Amino acid sequence: MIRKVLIANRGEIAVRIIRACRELGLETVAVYSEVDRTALHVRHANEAYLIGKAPAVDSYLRADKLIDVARRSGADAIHPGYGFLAERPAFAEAVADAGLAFVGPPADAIAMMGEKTSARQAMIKAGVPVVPGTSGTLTDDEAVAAAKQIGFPLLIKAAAGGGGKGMRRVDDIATMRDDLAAARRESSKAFGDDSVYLEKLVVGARHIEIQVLADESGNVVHLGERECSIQRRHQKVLEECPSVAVSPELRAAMGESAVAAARAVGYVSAGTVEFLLDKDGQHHFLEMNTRLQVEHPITEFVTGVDIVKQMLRIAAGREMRLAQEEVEWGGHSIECRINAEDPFNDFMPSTGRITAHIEPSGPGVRVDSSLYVGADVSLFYDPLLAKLIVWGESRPAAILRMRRALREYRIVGVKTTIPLHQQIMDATQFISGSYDTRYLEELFSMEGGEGGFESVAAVTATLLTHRRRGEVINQLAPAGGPSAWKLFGRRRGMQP
Amino acid sequence: MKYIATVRGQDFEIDVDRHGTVVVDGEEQCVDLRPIDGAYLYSLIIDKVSYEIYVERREGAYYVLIEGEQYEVDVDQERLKKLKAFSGHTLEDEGAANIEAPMPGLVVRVLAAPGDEVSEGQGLLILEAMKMENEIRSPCDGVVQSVSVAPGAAVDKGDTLMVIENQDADADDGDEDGAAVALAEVVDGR
Repeated sequence: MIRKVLIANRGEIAVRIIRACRELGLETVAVYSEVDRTALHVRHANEAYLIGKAPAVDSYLRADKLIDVARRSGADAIHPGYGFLAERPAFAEAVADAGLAFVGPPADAIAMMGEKTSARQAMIKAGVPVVPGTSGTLTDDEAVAAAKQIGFPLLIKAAAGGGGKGMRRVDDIATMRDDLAAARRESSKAFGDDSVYLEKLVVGARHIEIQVLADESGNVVHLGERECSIQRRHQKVLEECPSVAVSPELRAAMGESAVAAARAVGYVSAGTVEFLLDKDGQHHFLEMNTRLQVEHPITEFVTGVDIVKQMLRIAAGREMRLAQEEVEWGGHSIECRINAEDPFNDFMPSTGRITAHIEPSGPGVRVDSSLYVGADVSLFYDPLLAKLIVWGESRPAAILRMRRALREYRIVGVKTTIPLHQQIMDATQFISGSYDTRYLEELFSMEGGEGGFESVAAVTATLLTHRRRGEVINQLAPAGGPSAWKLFGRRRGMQP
Repeated sequence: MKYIATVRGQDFEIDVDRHGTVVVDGEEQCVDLRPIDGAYLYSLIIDKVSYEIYVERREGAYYVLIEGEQYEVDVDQERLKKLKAFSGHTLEDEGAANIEAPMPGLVVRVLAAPGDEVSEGQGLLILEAMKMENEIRSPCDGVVQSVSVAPGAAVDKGDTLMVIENQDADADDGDEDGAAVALAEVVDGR
């Protein structure tokens, strides 16, 4: 039984989790760093505790303080959200040791999926297709021999890997030994371990993931795919559900693989299995994200399943009230990640105070956000400010709705990626759906717009220049005297 | 007052008269531009067509964001534009150029001191951001009026680093503060 949940996170995801708790009648405990005193998650929660200074290492990453706050507040569960401590097996274990429910998977499932080679081996054993490559770590001679078998291009990956470190693309056997040496150097520097393995580089693949839910009674269901191929520097920029590349048969096959992956590690709670889908329609296991995913709302829109509520239910030890054959997919959903970055200036991070803020709304629109007027966007945390999610009865309807919603969105005070999303929604290749992970970085340009508002821009800039120079003070106050509006206002002011 | 506004290589001749009538390339337009947040966001109605736009002024140019696209606009008074074309010199609109940090970063070195004469394009200071050193250069010929930062200082994007007194400043610039006050009055009185 869970009555009170501590949310060990901040920003939009903390707000999202608090909302689910409220709807379930659960009490909520927020934690905050010194700069987050007035953040939305603090204001929405029933209780709020200061846990330290702004840098995450002094606050949101302090497992000891979080568990202490849980004790003091009488919380009986901790939801880690995503990022911060969400995928640290030691934290999940510490929470369990403190007698609290961890709203996420068991520590050993997190550990198993976090280590690349062990995850790969577990998947091979469970019959989940993986990217062709070597199963264990290799000597240079073994690697060269294996490379000939796998074929080029291929990737050398660090066994301890993560974040692209120790990862190298090799196009030719001639450079193989040099690349191996370089990858080992990088890996040893980054992780203190120079063991590497090889994977075939799947060129022109889509990045497609499957949402799974598993409970302690051994029920595992999948909620279908999310298309995540629109990426920049390996970071997802927007996601859609369903994917135009996934047929009902492929969905069933990928779903089956994902369920097998979850079962193989004794998974419980919500999780996401990431696959590469190659040009021939074959899917290959990439990794499993053992947490609530940023882009979970698009699945919620299309399936009607509230994933966060399910996580809370499962953490309380109850069975899911959801069987695979009850999962249905209706319509189409798109999520745009609104980041504090300047798309016109190489995605430079943008900081500042929000001075004006208007959220889109209306039919089929959902905004998961941490923004409000007066909020300070700092360099301490993730640049993700908000997620704009829409649903439409079809993909074209969803795209049109997203265009409409983006057009309504006003965030003033920091630069955001809203213009990027507006241009993607207008791009022929996105509209056609025929894109892969290379699209955004290699084929898309912010300068690719059609223009058409040059004269409007010219008039605006000229008028502002003119006003700055003090030649004419106001369009609306002609030389004859105060404007009719002003007079009207004065007259109204004089009425009793 | 006649202006030339240049956008994406296209010149617009725009005449704004005392009554606020706007004539663009010989065609009169009914223009109503209103500030929304007092800084960046504007509502604009041109001949009954409504736009909501963001405008930012940086280094003498305007950056206008409309429907997800950014338009960089250079505005010159017609006579100055002609003069520029004639002399080949750049005349800044304003008496003083505010040198602002184009990105958050760390001041590594300051290359000019108050009182120094600097020429257009001359390096003023070095700013380190994301492990890269960036030289901030003078937009005009002039004299350094003040330096607001010292080596080692962390600056935010938009922070003033230095003020350069433009030697070729034209005479009407004294009006600028007056204009801002007057504009604020009118906006309040609406």
